[in-house]
Amino acid sequence: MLNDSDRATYEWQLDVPGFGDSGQLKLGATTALVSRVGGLGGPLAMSLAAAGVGRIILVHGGNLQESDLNRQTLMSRQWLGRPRVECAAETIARFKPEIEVVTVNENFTEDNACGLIAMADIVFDCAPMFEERFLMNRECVKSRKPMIDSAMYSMHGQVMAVVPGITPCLSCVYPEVPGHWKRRFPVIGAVSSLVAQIGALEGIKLISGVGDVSLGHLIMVDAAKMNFSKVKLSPRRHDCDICGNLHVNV
Amino acid sequence: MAVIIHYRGQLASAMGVDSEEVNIEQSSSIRSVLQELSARAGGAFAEIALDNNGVPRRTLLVAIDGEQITDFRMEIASDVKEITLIPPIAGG
Repeated sequence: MLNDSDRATYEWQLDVPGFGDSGQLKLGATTALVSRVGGLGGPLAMSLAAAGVGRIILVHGGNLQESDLNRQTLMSRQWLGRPRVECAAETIARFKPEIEVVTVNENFTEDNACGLIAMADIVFDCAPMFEERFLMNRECVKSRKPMIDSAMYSMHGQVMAVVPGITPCLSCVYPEVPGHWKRRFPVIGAVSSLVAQIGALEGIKLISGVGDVSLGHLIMVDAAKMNFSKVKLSPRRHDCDICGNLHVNV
Repeated sequence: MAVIIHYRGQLASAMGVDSEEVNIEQSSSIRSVLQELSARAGGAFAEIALDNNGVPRRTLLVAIDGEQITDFRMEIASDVKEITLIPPIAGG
């Protein structure tokens, strides 16, 4: 049941048709894992916190650098050199202290992936490297947990919800690690923030039941022309190494 | 026939435009279109679109009129309006 403080904090979103107390309680009972708290993951985590997700696990290794500041909006110049996850947690806590924030000052690896996914109800993939993305995808499929995959490059962004056994997984869409992807990519912070909000919203809808999640679609943003579109994805690949043998009772 | 081709992500950077109208021959396939575009653009575009044997990479997502297709040898229907080429992106 929502207490008086919850009701005061969330009264404007409780009025959203189809959301109400039920949606709020579902968010409050959810543990969301956000991989990386950079230009995508940072603003995405902030929106999850603002919406009232009860527990947020932030996973990101390394310390804040000056070149992060054009897009990593949970950060502050005075924190240069500090672990990014600590900075992100501090910003979120200042915004809403009741949110439980767990920080993991590491990136996803084979060693920690299984344990981290086990802690979460839903995973938000905002990692810049495909090895991490595929690892999260594999572990989410294994544990039947939904994953919202958000990505951007220059003025383009895309978001895809993976619900294991129902939608194509990341490996269905991209069957192997692309050789051409470079760690350094062009990014304006407003574009990564824009894409992050779409990812956050798809997750909030999935958790709360409000609205329609674009299952089986790739949502695409062209910020240069401010066009939003979707591609209908092919069904799950039965020869997918990751989810091809997965059977789910719907 | 005239088709609008939309380039996403690194392909837009490589081609220098987000989209363009391209005349493709009747009975063209996505494979042949990608080969022609790669021959024209060369460099980064070809590297992302095709492997060393000139075969479309499995990592390239292609949509025709808003719907993903996976058979790149299939003949493109004459009433197709748009082709979208979507390379994998991961940035954050």
